[in-house]
Parts: sequence; C-alpha cells; structure tokens
Amino acid sequence: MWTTFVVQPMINLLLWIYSLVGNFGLAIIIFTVLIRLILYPLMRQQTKSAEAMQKLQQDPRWKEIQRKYKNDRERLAQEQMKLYQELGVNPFASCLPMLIQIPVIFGLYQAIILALGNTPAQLLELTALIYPGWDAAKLLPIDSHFLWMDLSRPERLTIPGLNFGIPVMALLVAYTGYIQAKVASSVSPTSGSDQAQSMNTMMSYYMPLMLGYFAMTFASGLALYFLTSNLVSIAQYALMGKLSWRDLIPFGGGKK
Amino acid sequence: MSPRIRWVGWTIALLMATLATACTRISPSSWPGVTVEQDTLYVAYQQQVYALRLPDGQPLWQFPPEPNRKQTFFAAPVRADNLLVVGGYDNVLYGLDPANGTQKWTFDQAQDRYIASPLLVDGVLYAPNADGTLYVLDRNGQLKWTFTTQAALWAQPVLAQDRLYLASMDHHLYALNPKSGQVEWQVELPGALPAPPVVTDDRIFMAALAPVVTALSPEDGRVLWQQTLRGWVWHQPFVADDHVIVADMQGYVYALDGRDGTVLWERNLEAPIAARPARVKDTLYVATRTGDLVALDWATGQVRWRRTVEELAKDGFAGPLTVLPDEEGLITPTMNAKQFLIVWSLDGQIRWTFPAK
Repeated sequence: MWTTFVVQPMINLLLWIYSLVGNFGLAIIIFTVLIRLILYPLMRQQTKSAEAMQKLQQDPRWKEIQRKYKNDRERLAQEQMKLYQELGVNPFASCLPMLIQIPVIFGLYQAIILALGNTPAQLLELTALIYPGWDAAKLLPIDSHFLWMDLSRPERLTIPGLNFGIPVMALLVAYTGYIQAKVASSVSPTSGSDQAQSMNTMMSYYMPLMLGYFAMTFASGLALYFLTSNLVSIAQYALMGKLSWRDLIPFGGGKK
Repeated sequence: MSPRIRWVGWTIALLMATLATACTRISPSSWPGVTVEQDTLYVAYQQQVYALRLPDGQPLWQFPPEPNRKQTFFAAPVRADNLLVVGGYDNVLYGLDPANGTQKWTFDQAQDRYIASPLLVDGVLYAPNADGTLYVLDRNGQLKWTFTTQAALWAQPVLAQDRLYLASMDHHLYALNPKSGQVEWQVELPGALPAPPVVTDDRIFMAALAPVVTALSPEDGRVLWQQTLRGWVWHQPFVADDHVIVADMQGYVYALDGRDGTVLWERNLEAPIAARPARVKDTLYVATRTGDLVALDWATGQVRWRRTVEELAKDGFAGPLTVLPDEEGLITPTMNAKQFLIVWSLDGQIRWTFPAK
C-alpha cells in the first residue's frame, strides 16, 4: 500500500519531470516546489493558528488560569484545553506541517534511490513501478550528476589540500532548517509554558539537526530536497511578512 | 501527560517507525553471482564469496574469512586455471587462489563498484565497472589499457571471432579490438543494456531494458531484425537450435526464430521474469520474480509443471539459471537473503538451499 500510494506516484512524477527537464537535480527541485505548493494551505493554517495562540495568551482568562492553577499542572492543562476548545484554537497546529513532511521525506527517499537505479535490485524494482503507457526506456539510467554531486550518494565537497570532504549540503540543510525553525517559532506563541509549547519547540529545533544528519548520511538527492524545501518555506514566510534580517543570523535572536 | 500530548508522541513514533521500515526495504543491492567450475560452485553474495562443494553444497572456504561490512560482492566470480577473480562493491577487484580463497592481488583504480563479472581469457582480464570504464589487466592485476563509455557497465563482455563485445547502460553495444580497445563499430539500442549479448557465427542477439529484442550483424553492427515484446527484458537471451528465448517483466516467455525474429510461440506465466532461462534436453526452465520455477516444453512452450516457493513470493528469482555439470540439476539465485541459492533436481524437487534451511 505504501509503495502503491506513496512511492510509485512519486517515482513516476519525478521521472516525468526528468523527461521534461533532462536533469535529475532540477527534477528534484521542481518536485519539491510542487510538494511545498501542495502543503502551502497547511502552512498558512499553521501561521493563523500560531497568531490565534498569541492572541489567546493575551486574553485575561488565560492569564487568570495561569495564576490560579500555577501549582496544579493537571488542572492547569484541563483549563487550558477548555479555553482552546472555547476559542477554537489548536495548540498543535504548528507541528502539523513538520509531521506531514515526514512521510513525504520517506517516500521521496525511496523514490530518489529507486529512480536513480544505482544497483540491479533498485533498477529491477523501478522497472516494476513505472506506470505502463509511456516510454520510460529512453530515460534510464538516470544521470545522477548535479553540480558537484552524485545524487545517489552522500555528498562531500573535496577541496585541494584537504584530505577530507566537507558535507556542504548537510551544513546548508541544518542552517536553513534552523532559520526556518527560528522564523516559525517567531510566529508561534511566546509566553506559554505548557507541554504543547515545549513539544513545538522540541520539534522546531531537533528536526533541523535530524534532517542535517540525514542529509550527511543518505543520498544527496535527499539533501537537495531538504535544502529546497527549507528555502521555499523561508521564502513563503518572507512573502507573508514574517521574516526579518535578524532571523538569517544564527543565534541572532530573531523577531519576537 | 495529557491525552493530546500522548497522541502527538505516538504519531511521531509511528512516523519514525515508518521511516525505518521504508529505508531498510531497499536492500540487498542485488542477487548472488554464481559460477560453476568442475566440482565447485562459487557464489558472491553480500559480504562474502563462497566456494561450495558439488553436488551437496558443503562450504569449502569463504572470502574474506570473516564478513566485513565494508566489502560486498554480487558479481559472479570467474575462474581460469589457478586464478579466481571477483569484483566488489568496494570498487576493488580481487585475484584469489581458487583452492582456498587466499588473496593474491587487488586492483583498486576503479571509481565505482563492480556489478558485472569480469572476463578472463588467455591471461587477459576484461573488468567492466559501474564508473563506465572497462579495465583491461593482465592475470597479475596490472593495468594494460582502458575503454570508457557514457554510463555504467553492468554486463560481462563477450569475446567472439576476435572481437570484444561490450554492452553498456548508455544504450550502446560496442565492438572493440580486444588487443587495443579500438572501437570497430558501435550501435545504439532502444534501452539500457544490463546483460551481455549472445554471439553466434552470423548473429548477435541483444535484449534491453525496453520491449524489444534485436539481432545484429557481427561484422558491422547492422540491425538484421527487431521484434517487439510486451515488457522490458532484464536478462541475456538464451539461444539454441536457432531459437532465441527471452522472458519479459510482463511475465511472457517468447521463442523467436533466430533467422528473422518471427515468434514461434509465447507463453504468459503471469509473473515478472528477470532471470535468464535454461534448457536441459527438451525442457526449458523459467524462474519468476514471485518464486515459481516453471518447466516448459522446448518446442511448443506448453507448461509441464510449476513449483512455487512460498517464501519467495516477494523476492523471487533473478540472475541466470545455471545447469549443473552432467545435467544433474539446476541452480536458481534468489533475492531472498535467507535462501539466496536453491538447487533443484530436473523434475522440480529442491535438493538443497544455501544457506541451508
């Protein structure tokens, strides 16, 4: 079911884009922009929810609850939940785009690896997953070279004089992921100290680290997806007027 | 912990488990490479190369003696005289002593993995690599010359009539001078070429990752005929008695007339086929991706019997079927790591598996 409904459509979409542009790196970039456009309504919803949360935290009833039950965490959570429901606020909405990305990432990883067909088993599986009715024979094998990278392998940039490769893509993925998380947290509620808030914070800061690690260890086609996805996301925040220059500086504080 | 927090936690855990499942599904990288020489079966699979005694499959030696995570082998080893050569996914070609698996030399100048078997003829070693280069060495592993194509090389070269035929994933078949590597002719075919051609006195038969089989002239690469099929073909054609046998990924087996490509008969086995069929007397053996071994009548294609290995329903047979010496049985490589080799009697009984069940 996973293969039929997630991996197979992704592979065929990727190959179709590749047949149009003739470059697998560009195909991944276009594919990622498409995915981000599909996810854009969710991101918009996330921003709205975050703004609603900010507004809620200025509500006198919220402050009263915080004061009244500051020594009873369970009761505090119950009262907060009541207020969320009463005002129609979803405290987890800001996690949702991140969570939805996870199956996309898994599917994309398999799609990239299989589409590149770097080993006989992968190419054999790929040939069984290509939809009948279009001439994909002329596309295979995919040219996996893009800029300095082999998209089927983990990326390292080797510089003359250095006896080790620099994981440029992993660093870029972690950096842009951090910027994205910083911008996302700047539009998230600031004064809540409940578990939902800490969950959001944890997701926002651990995910870039995790994605950076994936980018360093898995095929660099996946790193290209992460990087493009982060850049598109940052651009979307900028278009919504949520980005300041300070956000682009690591540990620079950002907009509060 | 509130129920919603717990729900989010479980969701994340579930998604992580999905990632782990999704990512680990892409393995192993290939099926075992198998070579039979006299009374020994050489098998390259995952982290070791095995020498097994025929007819019972008892292990004689392994290389390396202990599995090494950095070394994997899938290309069939080749043996000539007292040398066994095997290429690894670590980009290294190994020369071994076939008697005990001791390493004699290595060649490490390739940039990618060895997916194809090398060819060892008259003390010259032709080793195609996935970096697109054919490395030609002497029997001590010293480089003589190279020839580079536009994509990976997955097929063993074929030496016939003083020409070296090299199929490339760049869709081209090259005819080279075997001494100098000079191109005599080259021809573009409709798909990537993961398997070698079959060369007879007056024909070259070539399948491709495209729904077509092509017959070419060995003299100049001129196309003599092409026959359209339903699916792509993964394996080297099987040629005997002017019949060209191919099986495609749509599950069809075809017998073509080698002279003009006419379809003599075809049979739908209703399962994708990637393994090269084999023939013993008047029986054609075909193995499917879903774990069926099927015996067909050579002349008519009628199904005589079908045996199914239930455990191989998802990761069935791939790689060429090999007939044991003296036609005592049949070896079928599989994609199942728990029994990656099955040895059959000719009436379809499993004699032994490796590893043993």
